[in-house]
Amino acid sequence: MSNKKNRMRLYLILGVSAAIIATAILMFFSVGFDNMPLMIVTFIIMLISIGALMMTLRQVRDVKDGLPMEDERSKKVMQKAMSTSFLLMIYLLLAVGFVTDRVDIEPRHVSSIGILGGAVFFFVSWFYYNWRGTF
Amino acid sequence: MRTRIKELRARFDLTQKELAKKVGVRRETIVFLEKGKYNPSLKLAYDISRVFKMRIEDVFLMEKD
Repeated sequence: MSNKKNRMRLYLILGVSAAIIATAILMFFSVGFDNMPLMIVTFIIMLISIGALMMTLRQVRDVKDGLPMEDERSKKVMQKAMSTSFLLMIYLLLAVGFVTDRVDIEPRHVSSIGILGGAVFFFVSWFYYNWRGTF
Repeated sequence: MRTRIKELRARFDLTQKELAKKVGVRRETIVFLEKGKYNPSLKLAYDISRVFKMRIEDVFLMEKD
């Protein structure tokens, strides 16, 4: 990958992570400690964003040392994590759809649960495949 | 699959980072290769073997099941 592309990607990741963390902090202070489910969601979003930010900073350090930002193994890990999280997200949405008949969940929250679940599944599966290593 | 990367690295006095730089991968990939936890592509195996001036089958050892 060229230096210009690397830089663009880094700025994009840093910008998106900073925006997410800022939104989460704003949400955290505007809602306060009364709304527990929203606090948990905010905490999860912040955790994922901080993790992504830390990974990006490590990549920045590697690029400065002359190492590539990504290679064949990291791409494979990413692909595996993406496919696993996509599959799990579909199962989660199916489960939520099944549960909505019995539990009172607002329809607008279903997509939020799907997106957040997808993000959590992606993060967990990325860590798992990165740790396991065998392909 | 077993590899002789660690042994050859020591013989050629190369660090993981230096080898990673030479073959254009991240340092973690070299760590996983040395642990036998990653099967490299043919290109990567070829590039690593070339660094050590050896044949692929002398660096990457396939174990019989």
